[in-house]
Amino acid sequence: MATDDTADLIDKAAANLGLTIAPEWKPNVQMFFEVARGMARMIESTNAVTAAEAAPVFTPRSSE
Amino acid sequence: MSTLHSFASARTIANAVLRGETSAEEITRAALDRVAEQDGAIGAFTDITAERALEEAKAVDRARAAGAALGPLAGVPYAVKNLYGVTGLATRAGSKINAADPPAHADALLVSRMKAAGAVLLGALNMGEYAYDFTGENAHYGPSRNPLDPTRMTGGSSGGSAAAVAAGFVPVSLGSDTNGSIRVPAAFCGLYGLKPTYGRLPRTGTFPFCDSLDHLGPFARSVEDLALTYDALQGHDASDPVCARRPVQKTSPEIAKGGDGLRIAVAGGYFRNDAEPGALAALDWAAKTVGAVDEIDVPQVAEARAAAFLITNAEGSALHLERLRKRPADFDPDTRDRFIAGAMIPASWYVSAQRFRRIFESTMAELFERYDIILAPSAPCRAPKLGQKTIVLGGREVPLRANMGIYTQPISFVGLPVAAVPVRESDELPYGIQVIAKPWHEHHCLRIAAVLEKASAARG
Repeated sequence: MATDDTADLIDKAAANLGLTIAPEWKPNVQMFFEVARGMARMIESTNAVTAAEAAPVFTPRSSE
Repeated sequence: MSTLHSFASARTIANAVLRGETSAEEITRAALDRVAEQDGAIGAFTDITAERALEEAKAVDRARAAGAALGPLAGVPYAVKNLYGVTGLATRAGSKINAADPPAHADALLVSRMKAAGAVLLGALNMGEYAYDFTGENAHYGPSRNPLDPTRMTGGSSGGSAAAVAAGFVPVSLGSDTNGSIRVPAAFCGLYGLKPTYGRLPRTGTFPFCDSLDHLGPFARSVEDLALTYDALQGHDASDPVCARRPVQKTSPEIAKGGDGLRIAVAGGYFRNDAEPGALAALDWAAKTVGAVDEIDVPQVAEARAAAFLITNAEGSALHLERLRKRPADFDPDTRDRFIAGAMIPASWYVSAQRFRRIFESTMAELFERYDIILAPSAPCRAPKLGQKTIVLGGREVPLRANMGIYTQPISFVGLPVAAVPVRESDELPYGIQVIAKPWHEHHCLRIAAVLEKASAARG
């Protein structure tokens, strides 16, 4: 995704989430989002998406 | 004034109180005086609970006078990161926003357990906002300063917890560690720290950051005090759904057993790539000291760190979404922009990271079939200067905040227990070593930490 698209995504996501981002915060927000995207690409390059049960398995509790 | 010096150990204080050589009140008053006189230059405390401390100390003294059994931490002053609930105090969690919350109506469970052990709470400690921090800096309350060199960072986010112990205000403190927030400050301030197995200590009554990765644990100036404190904290609590139903496993009786029978390896590859030469020399010294010969290359560590980053970013941002909507300008700018970005992370990134956690857990479990302990650096460098924004690692200038946890994040990602051990040559600032064990084997971490502590003392 190109940088311009990221800026657009952030604007639209902020509107959807009800977040107000001051203009001077945007470069940092965009930078952090791009860092996260790079991290996600690393994970997606493994076989994690299909190969494993997600870690937070829910265990129902009983009073018995 | 107490006849005990300000750097007396918790064990020494508890024994002196038990034998009637000093009173808990005398110890407490001396500790409160030290904080009043010196903390202005350190910035460890955000709240001082003097009245409560004196009440708790007098209760210990009354119990002794009545011939009642005293707890293992009788009369020992301590303090807690300000994300722990303390009755009567707003649980700041390092923020300006939470400071306006109503005061906590109950203590965090671990504070209650410290009280039951006879310890005396002096107050709540500075931290990076909402624990999203490796520096110990805070835009609202000022930085916690490193007592070894007040122009330098304590590390974070449990910066005040490390500063209070390193300054000699208290012999032990409690912090939290989601990605390295006990281990990095312990390294920078020359302390011992314990990040127990994920799920070992109940988080009941503490303000969260990232449920999937949050751990609580102690700081101390010695392994003996670390074990003593950790033992007082253990025990299941059903109110924290993550807390495991494990029996209490006392570690104090274990620490003198040495390293005999433990198979120890050194983490290479990723863990050597970006560290300063001094950090690697500290690691090599530790390896030689405990007789570790094998160097192992842990697969997919960078991916593990990436997954920890995403889970933290997504969960932390979801936690603070309403605050980000209503009061974004009241956040520390160093956390706000990361939280806003994290609120926009697609669910698929987060779920993939959680799936990768299962894969990396298996990877580490296979390694721990061959070894009982793995040694790794705690941080790639010594304590940076306060205000420093970048650092040169591996020949590249990189953002400091994002890179102080490169060696700790992959380990807490899969919940392994770690003792943080300082390594220091003469008057130089320390480096830190992680002594990592398989889940539920904190006693192994502490045994090796004790071996390194003894060797450090012999080295001078």
